[in-house]
Amino acid sequence: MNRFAPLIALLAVLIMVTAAGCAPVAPASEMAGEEMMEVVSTGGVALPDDAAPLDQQVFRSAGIEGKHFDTMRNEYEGFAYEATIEQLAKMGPEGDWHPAAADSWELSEDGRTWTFHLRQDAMWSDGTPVTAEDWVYSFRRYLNPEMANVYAWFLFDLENGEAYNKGEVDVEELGVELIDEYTFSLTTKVPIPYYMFKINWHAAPVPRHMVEEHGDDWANDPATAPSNGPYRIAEWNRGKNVIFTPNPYYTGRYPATFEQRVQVIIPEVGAPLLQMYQAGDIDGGVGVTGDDLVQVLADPQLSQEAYISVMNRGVYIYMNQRTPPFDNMLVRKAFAHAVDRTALCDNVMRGTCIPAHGFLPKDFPCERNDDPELIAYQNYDPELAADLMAQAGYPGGEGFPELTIFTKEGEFIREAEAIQRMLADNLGVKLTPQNVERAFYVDQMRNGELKVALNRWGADFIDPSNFVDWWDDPAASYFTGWTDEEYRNLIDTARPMAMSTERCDLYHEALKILARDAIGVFVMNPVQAVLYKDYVSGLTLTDDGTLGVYNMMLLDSAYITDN
Amino acid sequence: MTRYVLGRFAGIIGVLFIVSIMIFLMIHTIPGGPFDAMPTTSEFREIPEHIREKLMAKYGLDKPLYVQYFRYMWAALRGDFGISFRYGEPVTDFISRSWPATAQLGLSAMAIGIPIGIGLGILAALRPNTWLDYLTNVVVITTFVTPVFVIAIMSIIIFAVILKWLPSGGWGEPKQWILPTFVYALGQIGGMARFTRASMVDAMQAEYVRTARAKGLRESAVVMRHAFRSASLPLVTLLGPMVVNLLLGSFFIEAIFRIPGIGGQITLALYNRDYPVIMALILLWTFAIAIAYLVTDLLYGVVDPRIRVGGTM
Repeated sequence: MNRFAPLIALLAVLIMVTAAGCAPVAPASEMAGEEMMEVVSTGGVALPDDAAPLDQQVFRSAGIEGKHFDTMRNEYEGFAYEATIEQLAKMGPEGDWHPAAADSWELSEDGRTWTFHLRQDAMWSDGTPVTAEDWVYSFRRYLNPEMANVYAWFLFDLENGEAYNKGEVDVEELGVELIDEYTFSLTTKVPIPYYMFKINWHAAPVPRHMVEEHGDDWANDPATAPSNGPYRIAEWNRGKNVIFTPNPYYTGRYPATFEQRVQVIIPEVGAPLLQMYQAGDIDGGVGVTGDDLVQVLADPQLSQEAYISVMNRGVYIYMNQRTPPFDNMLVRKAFAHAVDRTALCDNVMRGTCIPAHGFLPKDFPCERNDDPELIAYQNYDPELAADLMAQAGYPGGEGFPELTIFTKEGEFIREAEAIQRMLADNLGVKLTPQNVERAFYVDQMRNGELKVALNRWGADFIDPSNFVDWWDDPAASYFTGWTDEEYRNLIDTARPMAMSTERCDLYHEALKILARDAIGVFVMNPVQAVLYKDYVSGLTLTDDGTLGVYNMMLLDSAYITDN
Repeated sequence: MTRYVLGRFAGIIGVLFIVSIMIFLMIHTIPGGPFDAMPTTSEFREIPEHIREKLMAKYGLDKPLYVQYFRYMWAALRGDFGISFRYGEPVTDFISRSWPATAQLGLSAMAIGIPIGIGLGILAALRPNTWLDYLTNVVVITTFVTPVFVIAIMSIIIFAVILKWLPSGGWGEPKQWILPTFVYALGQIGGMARFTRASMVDAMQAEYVRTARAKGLRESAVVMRHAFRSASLPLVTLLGPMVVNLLLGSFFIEAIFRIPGIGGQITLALYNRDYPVIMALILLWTFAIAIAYLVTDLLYGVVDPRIRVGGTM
């Protein structure tokens, strides 16, 4: 100990001298710098006066690890970011479309062909021009049977999309056409007025020059995965993070404001997101529901940073109608009238959901959940429910089979507990809630063992067709055992129509059929809070200050303030 | 001795083959497959049949089970454990990049947890039924019965959220190592201390301890050379599998602290029906456990000459 004493003393003196020397100097120089010139990001954006210095312009969010960077192989496998991929157009906070990779676009007279005129100075982050050939190549590759893309069906409404994917026709027959170096068109089977939603939800170009050189491996390594967006992929530290830095070749409308965007990789289950956010390890984009939401709302700091909205998600009781007891409409109706949705959301879920009697989530286009007629089909009425059950041949639940009500992946456990209690009290039926993993759930569904479950449907794009079409989808009707001519006619008539009251009338009629025949028991829409730290400023919000639905411009002008 | 070890190794290889068949059959028998539904989204959607068939063929899952097994084993014997369905990279790459974090965490937790656990156990045994013993007991039982994920989340709330001394997780910088290492070590201390105390209390009452004391040996020599040596026999039994568990990681610790290790991967791989990863990790686990027991058996001989194997050492 004694031997080191002089050394320690020296070190201590050194530290004191350095600290004393630095402390007053550093802020002074910073101050001078700030006053003399504004902060201009590497992406070329002059940041507002309250912006923090460039080295602090880092935005960190969290997400699970992708398999690769190829969004045109399987979107949900890849890392997909609005930061690195520039799509044809961007949806603004109010649901309006703004040019992005395309300067303009037009729809043909017959409503089937969309022609896109690309921005001509667009470049990949390696300096190679982005051309219409890249786009055409990408769409063809997406549907190429060899790719075995599990999401290929998303573009099946392109002319010959499904046939090409099944290997029945050649690629030339596909409704994707190269017109010139900066122009291409997409042709759908039938007119789809909301096609911009679909196409910009999923489609991004892949760098053809890299795919041709490296095959599918191009997307495994940042070095061979150039981007066409404001940011490029700088580093992928597997299991830890992905780091994006400004794309030096980006010349588009949404230049990078941040010096770095970081996606902190979290495990598929178990990461304490809210605590990560509170500890300051991520800056925003944290969505919380359920108990976490209750905690956020009660916390003076967190509640200030929360953007609260009803999720575009409908939670419903799924029933297999192929076999007893749910082939009997009276049983399904009894279930529908036996669930006290208000008690569920207000008491059990402590205000983290809102009651629903229809399939469309609140505030979704064409949603008319307040329609008394719709509500009457599934309103809480325990006496009516018991009557219906008796009429169905199960008075007081007598003779009703004991079933398992399934939930999956740790979701809706408490909701299922509450609902089975209500069904037991009001109908005398015995359902045992069981939460299972997804693979088992799907297997049970496939082989018909799953008779009743608490399920959800979330929007992929903002059009009612995304919700109502599901029930008529061959895959869904295979599981529910339900098809209906009238329903199909309504949605087929509504689908190609431009958005209007008439279109919504048709959809509402269809939704009333679902509620009337209790094809599903529609229960609630969850509420969500999305958190952004107060030092993240410049978010592009809706006029009334919410995040907006699929707002693709949220972070376009965001920056870090200096407090 | 050498013959004994060689014999045991042959046994281990046999066990690996049997386990490989059992696991292979089991993972293919559990309901649900890797390509039954859309990956990573919770909404239920069917993968179109023609695409499903292609994927099954791509990964060789359309072949009869015995063909799949022999193909797998033939490749595995040459060091090729297949490609992870979930991560899209070779399983060997995946394990070799993930294991270092897990091993580092396990070794550090061991380095802290085992000495403290043994120390606490000995202290408690030397003063049985005193305040020291009770205090140790309270600490030990609390850490032993509190689930590790509770301790982990609590530690994040205290040290990362409230005090802001340490990051909430992640892996790479030394300050990110502190919380998971200590939480992990805490879990080991409880078990270690309990077992040490129990066997030390027995040993301290043995006749040879009284003899040693009667010889006039210093108390420290009595405790360490005589009592602890024989008391450590059950600890050696405990240590083998414990070391393996520590080296192969903990699901909760790695998930909660976002550590890119292999600890959580068996669970996740089962969940995702990621057959190649499940196979490789379970075989690795089996191998490690078998080796640990072999080492344990050899250590018995070091600790207690009466049970030395294979003749003289």
